[in-house]
Amino acid sequence: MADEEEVVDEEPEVAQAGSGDSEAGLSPVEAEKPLAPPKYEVRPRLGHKFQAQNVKAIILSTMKEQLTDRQYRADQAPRWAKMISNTVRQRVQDLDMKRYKILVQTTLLEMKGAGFKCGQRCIWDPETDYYTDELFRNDTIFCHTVVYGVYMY
Amino acid sequence: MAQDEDEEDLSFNVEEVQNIVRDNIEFCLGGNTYSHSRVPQWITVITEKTLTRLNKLNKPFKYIMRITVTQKNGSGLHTAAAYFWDIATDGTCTVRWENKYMYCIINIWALSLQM
Repeated sequence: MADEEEVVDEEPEVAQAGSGDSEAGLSPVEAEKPLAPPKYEVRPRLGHKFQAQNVKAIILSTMKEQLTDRQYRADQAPRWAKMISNTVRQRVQDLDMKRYKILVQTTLLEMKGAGFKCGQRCIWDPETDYYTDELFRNDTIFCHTVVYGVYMY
Repeated sequence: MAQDEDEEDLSFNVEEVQNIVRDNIEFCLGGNTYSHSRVPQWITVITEKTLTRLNKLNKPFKYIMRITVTQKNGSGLHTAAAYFWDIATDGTCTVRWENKYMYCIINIWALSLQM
């Protein structure tokens, strides 16, 4: 009897000790602050994606500015090509797309009937990396500019 | 010593890539004449072969590869490029090749995946 009482007494103590432990287990969780959101972004957030349409507009306006009413000249063409690619790169940088690396390539051709084909392949992340390109043509000049945006994790 | 090896693994080895590209062009374009209908096929073959081999190098890079094939006609061609990237880790490689009938320009850009 006494044993039973003792046993009975012990059980509630054990139970209380058990619940005490679980309370002790619970309270630290409640006292902890909620986890902060991860700062390492693997994907650009909405609103921070590559602005393909804006970049296309920049490329076209730059090429038109530099090349309308100009005839192909072998001594000046390298300078025009460099100026177009530097201007496009500067304007795309001004769009301030965070964490994007920018590559611009401009190709200037003289229209003399030669056949011309270009192709590209990329090993990259298609969800974060993009490219846009634009053509400009007049009687003697053919200009193609491509801009790549590659996300840096 | 281990650090040197790591640095070699992480940097873009221009010569190695140039050799890979030249082999592939020779194999594909060799002594052929310019043919407007066959060029897309050649471009596909060259790019896929080269990119597969680049991938096998197992380096932490994203690659962009661009090929331009032009018929030899006396017309002028100029290319310029501008970059906004990390000059310490990213690299570029350009290979120019020609035969009697055409020019081929290949650009490869490697953008590193780690800071």
